Amino acid sequence: MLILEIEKCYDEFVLNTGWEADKGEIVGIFGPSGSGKSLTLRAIAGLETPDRGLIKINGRLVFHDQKNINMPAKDRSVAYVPQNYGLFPHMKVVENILFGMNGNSPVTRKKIAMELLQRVGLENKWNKYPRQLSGGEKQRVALSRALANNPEVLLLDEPFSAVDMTVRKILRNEIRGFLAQWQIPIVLVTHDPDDLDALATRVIEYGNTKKPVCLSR
Amino acid sequence: MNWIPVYLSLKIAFFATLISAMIGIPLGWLLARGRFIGINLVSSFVMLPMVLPPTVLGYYLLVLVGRQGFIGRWLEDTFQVNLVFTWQGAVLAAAVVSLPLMVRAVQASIESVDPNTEDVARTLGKTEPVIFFRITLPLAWQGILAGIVLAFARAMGEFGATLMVAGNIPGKTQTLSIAIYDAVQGGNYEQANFLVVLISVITIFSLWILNSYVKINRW
Repeated sequence: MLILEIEKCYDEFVLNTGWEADKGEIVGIFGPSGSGKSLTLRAIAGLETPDRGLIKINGRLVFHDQKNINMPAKDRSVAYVPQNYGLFPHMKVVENILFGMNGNSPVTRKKIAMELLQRVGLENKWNKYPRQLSGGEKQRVALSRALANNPEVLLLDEPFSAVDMTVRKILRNEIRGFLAQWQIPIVLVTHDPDDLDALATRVIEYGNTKKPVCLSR
Repeated sequence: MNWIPVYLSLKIAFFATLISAMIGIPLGWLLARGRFIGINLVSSFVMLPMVLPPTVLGYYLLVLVGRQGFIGRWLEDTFQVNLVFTWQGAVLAAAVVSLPLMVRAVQASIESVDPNTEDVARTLGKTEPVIFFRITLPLAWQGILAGIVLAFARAMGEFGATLMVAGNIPGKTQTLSIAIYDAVQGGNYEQANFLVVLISVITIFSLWILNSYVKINRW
């Protein structure tokens, strides 16, 4: 369960949002660019600090301004897949996945990584570099890497922006089955209504009504 | 032919580059990724040696590390070390002069690393040092290497600041560039020609190495 209630103020723009996401849910955040969609994801991941509010993951407070809680990103157990996937270009596919894995012996880790790759049909690409992969393959590697540590929340920022329209349709179908296997809250940011139709179980709409009411200032 | 200036220059440039890299790599990272008030001030200050006349820079250093300078006095009192008119002083001068080249190259190459990769690493539970050494540094390595080569070349050719701080003592602080000047002043063109050709070859060779290495991209 992910609960958030946050505010972040800039000179020209105020993000003020609050919602919840249950496990197994795919919450789609929909809105025009500049409405604070990505910012919300970054705040949940711990990459951006809200000015006010709270973020709770499975009962754990990871952010609370009044209690002075701001857990660093590395301790939040939140998986984040940025817009262009953020794959490590100098590491092979399997190394990308192994990089984020903790615990277990190196042999076990490698085994788990290969199993993950098998699940997304990329087991024979394990020793390729990201630049040798197609857009869809990159996305699957990024998802496998994000999920390798059994995170408690998965955040996807515009997962299909890097691929063209035709590939997008195929990928939506692929990713739907894959995401359904993970019983965690999944938050998907998009500006494309088709993404929501295909994937989201619930939609939260962000408007661009820039109301410069900033409660924390 | 007198080879000592060549040896001295290589030695001084080596240590100067080492110091410049040790300060310049963290500083370049800070300027590329840091978010703090006064970052522009730090950036301008680091660039000073590039725009100041080397003699002015040398004079500043002389004032700072000389017996009367506060760093000079501290060095003398604590370590019984005096940098003025020593090869170590020449290292200091060359390091300061080459620092901006190093910092600029490091900063530019770190800025070119996709910050998303670093952010993802953070969410994967990695600490900042791990991210720096396993993501940022390997991805920025070519630019950093270019900075190191440029800094080395600059240190090899250093003249003005070195002359101010370390003087022109044959066999002790007389580096290549200074020896060339000295040879021409004394009408010893044979020695001057020899050194000029040598420094040209060394410089062209290092740039060639740099260019051929940078083209190799393993991923």
